[in-house]
Amino acid sequence: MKAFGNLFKKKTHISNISESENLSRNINKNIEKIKNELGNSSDLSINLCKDNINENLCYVSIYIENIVDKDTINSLSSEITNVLKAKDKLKDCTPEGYFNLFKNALFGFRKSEEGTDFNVLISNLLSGKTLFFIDGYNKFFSIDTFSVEGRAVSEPTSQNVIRGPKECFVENINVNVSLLRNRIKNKSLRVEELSKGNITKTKIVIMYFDKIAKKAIVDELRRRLNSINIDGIFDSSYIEELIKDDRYSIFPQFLSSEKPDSVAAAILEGRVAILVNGTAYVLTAPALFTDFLQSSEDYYYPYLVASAIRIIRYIAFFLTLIVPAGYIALATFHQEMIPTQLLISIAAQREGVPFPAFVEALFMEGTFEILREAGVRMPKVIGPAISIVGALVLGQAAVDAGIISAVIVIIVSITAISSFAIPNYTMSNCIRLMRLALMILSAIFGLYGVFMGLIVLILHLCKLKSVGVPYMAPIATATKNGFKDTILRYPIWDNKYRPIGISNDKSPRVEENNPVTTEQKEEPEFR
Amino acid sequence: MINMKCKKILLTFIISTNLILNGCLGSKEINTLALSISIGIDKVDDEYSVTYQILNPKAIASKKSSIESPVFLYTERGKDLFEVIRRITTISPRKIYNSHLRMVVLNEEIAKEGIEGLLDFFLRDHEFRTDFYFVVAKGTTANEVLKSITPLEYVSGMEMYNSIKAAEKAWAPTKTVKIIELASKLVSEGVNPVLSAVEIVEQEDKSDSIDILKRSVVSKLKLTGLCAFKKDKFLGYLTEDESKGFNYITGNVKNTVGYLQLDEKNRVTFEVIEAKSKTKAYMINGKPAVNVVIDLTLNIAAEVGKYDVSIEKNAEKLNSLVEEKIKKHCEASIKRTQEDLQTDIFGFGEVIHRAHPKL
Repeated sequence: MKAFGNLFKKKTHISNISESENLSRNINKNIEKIKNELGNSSDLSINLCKDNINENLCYVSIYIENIVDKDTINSLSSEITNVLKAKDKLKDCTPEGYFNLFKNALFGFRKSEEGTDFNVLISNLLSGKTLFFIDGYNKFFSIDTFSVEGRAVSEPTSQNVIRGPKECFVENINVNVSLLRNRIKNKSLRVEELSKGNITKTKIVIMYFDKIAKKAIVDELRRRLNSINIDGIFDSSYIEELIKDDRYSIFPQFLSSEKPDSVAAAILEGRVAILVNGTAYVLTAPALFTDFLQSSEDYYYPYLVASAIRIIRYIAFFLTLIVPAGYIALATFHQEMIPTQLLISIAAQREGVPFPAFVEALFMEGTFEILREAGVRMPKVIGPAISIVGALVLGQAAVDAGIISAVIVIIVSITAISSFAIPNYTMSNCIRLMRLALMILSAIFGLYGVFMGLIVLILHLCKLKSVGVPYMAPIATATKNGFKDTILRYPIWDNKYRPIGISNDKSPRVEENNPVTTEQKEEPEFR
Repeated sequence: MINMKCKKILLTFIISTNLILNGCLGSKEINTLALSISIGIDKVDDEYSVTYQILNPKAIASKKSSIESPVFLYTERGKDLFEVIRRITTISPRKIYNSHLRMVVLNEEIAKEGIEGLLDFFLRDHEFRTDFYFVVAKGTTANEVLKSITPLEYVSGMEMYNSIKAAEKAWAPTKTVKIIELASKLVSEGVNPVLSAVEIVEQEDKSDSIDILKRSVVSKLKLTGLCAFKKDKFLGYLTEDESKGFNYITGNVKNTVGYLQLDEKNRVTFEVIEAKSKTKAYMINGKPAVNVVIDLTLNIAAEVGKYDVSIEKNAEKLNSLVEEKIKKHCEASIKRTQEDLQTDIFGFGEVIHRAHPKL
């Protein structure tokens, strides 16, 4: 393996650009060079203009048609026309003077840049900027005219809420940053930009709150991000897979969210958000086990209700993990553990079923997983068909035909419903595999196997880390106030401190005092 | 230090050998098991005749009323109990699974000869749980008891199991006896075991077909009080009142009902909702004596006639009458066991031994 790794490492990446090269003074040479570099792309727009008044002067504007905003281009050109009206200034103007004239007129409030490096020029051109340079002068300047069509901010598709903000991140990273900036209007919110992907040059932004986030965590994340060397990044999951602490672990170590409110809340707790251009999923780290069983809605409901919902979620987590395995173990190894009446009815249903309980469970689980996968990939129009096939044909008919017993249909249904109660889809997917492993263990060893599997699972979870923070943190390495936001959600006014392992800030985030005094409450009508 | 590679190889080795060695040895599918609900043990010509009541799950749990019998009986004879039980596999298509055993019905004959040898088998075999009850078949064989088709609960074993529990809770004269209790009473010096007795009533039609359930009057199994043992040998039956007395003395009454006939017209029915008993041993004139204090809490359940219980005097009178009645039951019970049967089922011996170990 290692030998192969070295073989590949020695190869240079195709995208590596040759050493820095300066612009030439000759405008035609420069234009030719750009054309060559871009392979004479059809969407490259090059407008070479001779000055009407001073024939020695000549400027060129270059942009790529498909990634610029037409309106900005139009306003730019009308501004240029205004500039060129100043006849007296132009009469005996040097190319440098001409350049400065343009620069001063166009820079305005715009995001602009000037330079001499040819490579910077190319990368500016590719990120949607309009380039200007003058014949006889070896400098260029660029103005940001970037614009692409994107989705509007809409409701989340995978993290639905009933109460709370319904905004959702979009694919455009600038919009995403603005969504977060809009929620945290504070000077200490840091936004750092880097570009990754040797070919794709994907823009990545890390956001954190300077005084709250732990410096060590931010530095470590920055280091890991900088070490990424890959041709392209199309989703934040690439980042996760490349830089997570234990890359062989099945468990997600970064929390992906498409909801700006939960990411903003995470930033306020001292976590670091990683935004990737082109995806609506934002990563936050460190992400601990309990975070995957929380929903942003937990904080928008009364704390008693939210706590009850969380308990249900934890129960669902364990149900989806162990119900099929437990059934297999009880039905094939430990019949004495089933209450007699229940055993009788299970026995009655198993009567005449040709398969052992494990095969039966595997069959139904497999069917369910296929149904689920098909349901996700299928065109929306034929969506209802699958529920008919799934519910009627596979459920009822298979039981009636005596291929499987009715109990297993119930078992698989409980498992399936429970798995949907896990708020994070990545976690829910990983539980699917865990469940299968436990089923196999239980078919071979019975309950002994199930518990061995669970022990291994818990050991693994305790060993895991997310950016150096223990994965089971508030539970396995118990912190003083950590339990206040785990299985139960304590009232907001009681949950005073930020999570200890994650945040650097020891000051309380909320004042506990109740504005309604006891004396007030005792008055018959108070306000 | 062993390096990681070695560790990994070792781990895979251990896991794979585990897979091979352990295998699926213990696994048994539910539909390859014959669930035994009760065992009946009779004595025929110096041999054990063991009747297994095997559940027919197909008939029990189906929504439509079944044409099949809810239980099947397998009977086999032999000198040794374990041998007989294993020999039943020659007539049963499935392996008999004993973990859900509910009842063991003993024939009177067997009980008279001693049950110690039987108990050892039930204690030793790993498949038996310890939560099944023992009863003695009164005036019939264990086989007959298991054969009978009972209403509501199709399986007579389940019927007895539920009925013995319900009767102990709501109507005192029975007692659930599990194997641990039975065995510990057998080995301890100062106490002798009791078992509930069961008999078949209203057996008009001797048919064991499920068709008799089409009638409203069918044969039923009735729990008729207790029977007393001396060590492991059966001695005789107690009447219902005597059994009640036994349960009062041993503090086993949870809830029961009784009535007082005050005079010709007036009758008061009361419900015992709480009964506690304390037994203490004394020495009176060098002879051991036992004092049993029973604490009762009663509800007036019904009243016939014009007896006004709201008057304090009357209530007190009632109290003393109830006391007298219960005392009578208890005394009858003690008299019967001490004088007629000559056994100590109350554990008085144990109480005296604890208070005066030297005796």
